Amino acid sequence: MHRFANPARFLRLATIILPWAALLSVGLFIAGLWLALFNSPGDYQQGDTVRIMYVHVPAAWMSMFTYSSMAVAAACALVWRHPLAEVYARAAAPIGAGFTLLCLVTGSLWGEPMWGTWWVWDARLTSVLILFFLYLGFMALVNAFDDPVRANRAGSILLLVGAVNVPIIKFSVDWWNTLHQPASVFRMGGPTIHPDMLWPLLLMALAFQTYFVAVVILRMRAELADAKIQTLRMARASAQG
Amino acid sequence: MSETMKEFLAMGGYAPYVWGSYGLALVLLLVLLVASVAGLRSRERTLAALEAANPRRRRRKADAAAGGDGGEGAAMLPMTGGRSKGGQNDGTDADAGGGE
Repeated sequence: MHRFANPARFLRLATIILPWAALLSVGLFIAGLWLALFNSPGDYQQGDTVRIMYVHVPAAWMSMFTYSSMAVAAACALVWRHPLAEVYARAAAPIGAGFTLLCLVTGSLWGEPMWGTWWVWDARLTSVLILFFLYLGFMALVNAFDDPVRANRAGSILLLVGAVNVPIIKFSVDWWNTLHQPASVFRMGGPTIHPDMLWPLLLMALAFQTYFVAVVILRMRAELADAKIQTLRMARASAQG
Repeated sequence: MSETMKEFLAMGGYAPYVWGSYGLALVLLLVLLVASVAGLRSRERTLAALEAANPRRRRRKADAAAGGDGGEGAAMLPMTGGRSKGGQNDGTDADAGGGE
């Protein structure tokens, strides 16, 4: 039963964090959306399409944050056999895939009016598309095994191998100079974006982050309940035999 | 509808792109949230049903040590297992059975 010791502590902590994360997320979304839609200027070149940024960029950041955190969890799972690490990776994957899809589609919706094309096989777009497939691949892989131990092991290895894609996404705009613009917030020398646009962007990013925390807690609780269900059924099956 | 409201909704002529982005974000985040809550609820129900069907589980080890049977709970397995989540359960049952 010692393997439930850690999850038990996590569940207590999660119960405390969940309502705060949910509340904070709602508040940040309201403030962020108000600034993004009503109280921020249009871009001098892009007009109102710049407002797509307040969804597109937080989704992109979260898609990379989620994958990176899953890769760290995979390392913890493989090295220290931490029982919660694999639970976290499984729980976070669909959310990360959702963020990545949102990033890709809003990018298309922004690209069509501004670049004149929905899609281009440039390094940034292609590497983010690969990230999306990595999420889908991970979810398919961990559900393809009957044995959860083997499933989690295979999933963790996939996550670690795929982690090489994260720096490629980050630096693709510097290494290959194509249609996608380079970073304007997290860059050497500070942000080059006006505070009137930076604030709604940061608020929306925090809203996405707190949303992620709340939903990942819900999903981890579901995964833990699932594991308990399996254990109970196994115990009954062996008691029967 | 007022003039400013119309202007706001028009988004400088880019309405489909801007509102499409925000609309998709809303739909995606809501679907993910609702699906996660529903998944948690259904598993908690299954778990509660399983635990209710076998309240003696906590004493199982003590029973086993004392040569107890535990047959009463086990007899219910095909019922509860088959009802709630058949596909996944079949695999684990077969594995456990094969190992005996």
